[in-house]
Amino acid sequence: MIHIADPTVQFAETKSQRKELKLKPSVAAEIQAGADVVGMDMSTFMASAAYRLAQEVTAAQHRTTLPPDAFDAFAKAVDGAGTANPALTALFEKRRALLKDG
Amino acid sequence: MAEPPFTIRPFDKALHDRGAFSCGVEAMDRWLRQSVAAKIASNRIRLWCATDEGGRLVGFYALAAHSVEVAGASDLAERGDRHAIPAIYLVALAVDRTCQRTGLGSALMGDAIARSVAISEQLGAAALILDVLEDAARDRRMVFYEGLGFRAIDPKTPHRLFLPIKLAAIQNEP
Repeated sequence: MIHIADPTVQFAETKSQRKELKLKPSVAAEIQAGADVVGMDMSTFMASAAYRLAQEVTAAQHRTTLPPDAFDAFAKAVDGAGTANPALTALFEKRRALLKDG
Repeated sequence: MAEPPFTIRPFDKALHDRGAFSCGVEAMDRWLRQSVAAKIASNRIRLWCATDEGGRLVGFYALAAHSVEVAGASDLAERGDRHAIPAIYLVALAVDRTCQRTGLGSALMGDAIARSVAISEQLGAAALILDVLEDAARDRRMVFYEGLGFRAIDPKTPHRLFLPIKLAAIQNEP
């Protein structure tokens, strides 16, 4: 059996927050099938998956993790000498024409 | 030279009515209405708002601190001298429907880049990073960003782009 850890078990809290949602039948069926595969009830499976995704997107806003080759390419790019870019210059001109500091 | 028609300043609940703002992307409008106040209060993001001459909120962008790290960063052998590189993340940028196609979006982008350069002069940041919204206008946006010098940070995540601060800083800004 495939096993996935439930990241929400770390919280020693009572499940006091009731959430109701409507699902498309095909979506509900697929979620139920996934929950069956790992032996979880549907509620725990959904909470676990949503919690995991919430953590991922929150982290992605503040951190990018790269494999070594991509990290090296990024470091080289940001350390390299820049060259003039007319499009960027035009953007700054647009900024000066349209925006003033309040 | 004519007076610029829009004013940019940090988000102020008393000045910026988010309820009437609509950029055409429901997720963005909802984010502005429901999420930003708590994120600002907890010092996770900063939001900059553009208003028209009547004081109406017509555009905004948000910035956050960001870090670029190598996978397996806790493994010294793998990491080597690859230390985390500080960056700035453009959380969101949007223009109200009534002001789209006026150049305000470009002006806000220019302001976000110029502000990132200024921030980098204060505490050090090597890149401005953003995620391109994956909708029908994605390809058009991608052409716009690539024209400014943005490029994909990793071939496996082509929607996440970066602009070296050095590249922006040599355009005689802020």
